[in-house]
Amino acid sequence: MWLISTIVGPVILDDNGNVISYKIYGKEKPSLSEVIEGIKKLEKKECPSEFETLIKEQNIDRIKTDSEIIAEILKGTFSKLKIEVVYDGPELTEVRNGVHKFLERLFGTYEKYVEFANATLVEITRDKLREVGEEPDKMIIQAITMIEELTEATNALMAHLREWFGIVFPELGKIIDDHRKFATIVYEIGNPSRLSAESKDREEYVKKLEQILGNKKTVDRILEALETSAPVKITDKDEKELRSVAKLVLDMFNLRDDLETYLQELMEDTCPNLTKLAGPTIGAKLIRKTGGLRQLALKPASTIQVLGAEKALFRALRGKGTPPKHGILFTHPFVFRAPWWQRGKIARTLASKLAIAARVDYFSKEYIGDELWNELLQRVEEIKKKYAKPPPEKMKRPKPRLREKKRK
Amino acid sequence: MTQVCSLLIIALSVIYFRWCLEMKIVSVKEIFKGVFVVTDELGTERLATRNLVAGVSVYGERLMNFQGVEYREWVPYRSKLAAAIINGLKDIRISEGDRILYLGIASGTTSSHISDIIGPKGIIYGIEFAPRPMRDLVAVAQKRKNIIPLLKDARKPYEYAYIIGESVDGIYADIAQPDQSEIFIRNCRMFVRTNGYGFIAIKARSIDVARPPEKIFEEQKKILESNGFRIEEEIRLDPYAKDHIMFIGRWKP
Ligand SMILES: C[S@@+](CC[C@H](N)C(=O)[O-])C[C@H]1O[C@@H](n2cnc3c(N)ncnc32)[C@H](O)[C@@H]1O
Repeated sequence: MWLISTIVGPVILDDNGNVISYKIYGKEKPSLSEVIEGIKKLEKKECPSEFETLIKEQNIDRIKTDSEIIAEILKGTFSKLKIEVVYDGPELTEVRNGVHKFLERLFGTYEKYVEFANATLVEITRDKLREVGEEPDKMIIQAITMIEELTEATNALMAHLREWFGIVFPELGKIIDDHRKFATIVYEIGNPSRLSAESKDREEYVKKLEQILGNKKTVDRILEALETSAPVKITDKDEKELRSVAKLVLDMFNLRDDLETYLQELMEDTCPNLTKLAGPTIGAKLIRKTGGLRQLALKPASTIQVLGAEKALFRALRGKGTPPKHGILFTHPFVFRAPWWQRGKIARTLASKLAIAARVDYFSKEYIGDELWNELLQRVEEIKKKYAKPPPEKMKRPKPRLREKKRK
Repeated sequence: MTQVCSLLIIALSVIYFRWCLEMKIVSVKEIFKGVFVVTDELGTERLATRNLVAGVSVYGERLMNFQGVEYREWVPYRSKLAAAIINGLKDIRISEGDRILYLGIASGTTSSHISDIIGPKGIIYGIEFAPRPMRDLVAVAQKRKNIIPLLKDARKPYEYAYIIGESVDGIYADIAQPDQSEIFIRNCRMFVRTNGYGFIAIKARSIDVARPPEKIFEEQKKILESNGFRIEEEIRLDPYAKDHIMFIGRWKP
């Protein structure tokens, strides 16, 4: 026996595609609002009551279905039900043909079913699209700016926290480079004397430390350091303040993570092609620099290549120094990981693909990201092969100009 | 001021003049059921379908009237199916009342013409995973009741199998993905009735940018045929779509 989910509700059919029983969303006729509710439940992987009643009524203990999603949902609700997922074969075809006839019968004419399906999915899709938002460019610009500010602020706070905690136990800073782990240790453990041999909760705190670091070796190094250099004694008040600063920094880290996920989703929805090639951060910076996706889409590749290097560009235009080879694009791994003599060429290729990506994102809105990505990879490989060796002496890298601002 | 005025007058008269010229249709020939070649006074021939939604143009294509019937131009540079027809497709296969699964329906350019052909008794389940073209498609679907928009990933048919429920008569795939043929087969297995028809447009560059298109097409053909898709026609889409091919056939697993 088969369970097939349709727009109007679950249907049980035998192996030849004859309908045995069904339940529709709605009382006698399918109701638009209840159908929408039912489908939304399925999309959230919840079990609509119609499925439950149908299976209970029919007293079924094994069933075939063609969707892993439905199988998963049923498993959650009926632990004893044996579910087999079959997604091809002549039997499935017969069953689905049977569903077609069922839908036609249910609505009287197939045309009526078509109209109903249209109304349902137009509504559901519009709802989903509404989640995408109206002015994504502006949101992108705000999000990337916030992420940058947060990064700077957390770095500054971390420097102070390290300095402060360094008074108490300087070795910790040397052993733990990772900011987040450092702050977590300060917050979770606080006074390092808790880890000392005299402490009565030593075991508990060592366990905590292990959990934070996930690595026994580092834990041992910390404990060793504690023995050799007795940490400075601190009061409960000192500890309390240190811990609240650490908590603040950790919250800021988490906020930044959330914002990054948000930006990533926003970028993938708004400009999937650009995001595929540039990544969400660089993509967002390019959008911010030009003021919006539309403006970026209208820029030639040569401009995109040096966006963010305006100072150097204007200087070059005034006849001082060489024109820049890259601005924001410098931070792209393809560019900065390449040896210096290849960077300009790679940045140019990247810029030309990004220009196409932005145009497709803005104008035709199709997704051709994988294809562009492959093309980009191929071009980069070609450049790497062709210019494998550094150029001869006289063309060597120009000395950086004294007044050029150092890149972060 | 006068300059602006005269420019405007010239522009308007040009538009009017062209309108007069182009809208005079002298003959309409039905080449397949629901597919027409419309000839204007100057002898220009255009592919067209009968407009299901009178007065509405979907992607900026011309609307043409002849003997009380409105036709929509079907532009081969915009639609690969139109390109295939012009390049010699022998049989359109799609007929009134058909149920079709469309992978990569985008904003509805090609599917609007399929929608004209199948009419209100047919259905197109349109799969598209990018929200932006989907927004345009929803606007089209609000007028064309036989288009069902589904914001889903064609790689995961089980995520829409629970909505579609029934089988389909045909499948049309144009998703420009490297593994498109596999995706196509996966969807055939789940939805297409035995002997149902299929169209798949393949762009050589989306599979491999380096190798010659002919090689790639041969390979894709093998994947399709060895999995039960019998190819009956293969049509290159140049010059309308560069290095593209369309395979048309039947699902006979
Ligand atoms: C070449 S366009 C299709 C144009 C359309 N066939 C027409 O002629 O009107 C390809 C579309 O497939 C979509 N696409 C790519 N991969 C997809 C996937 N895995 N699932 C759904 N849609 C996909 C893209 O977003 C894009 O809109």
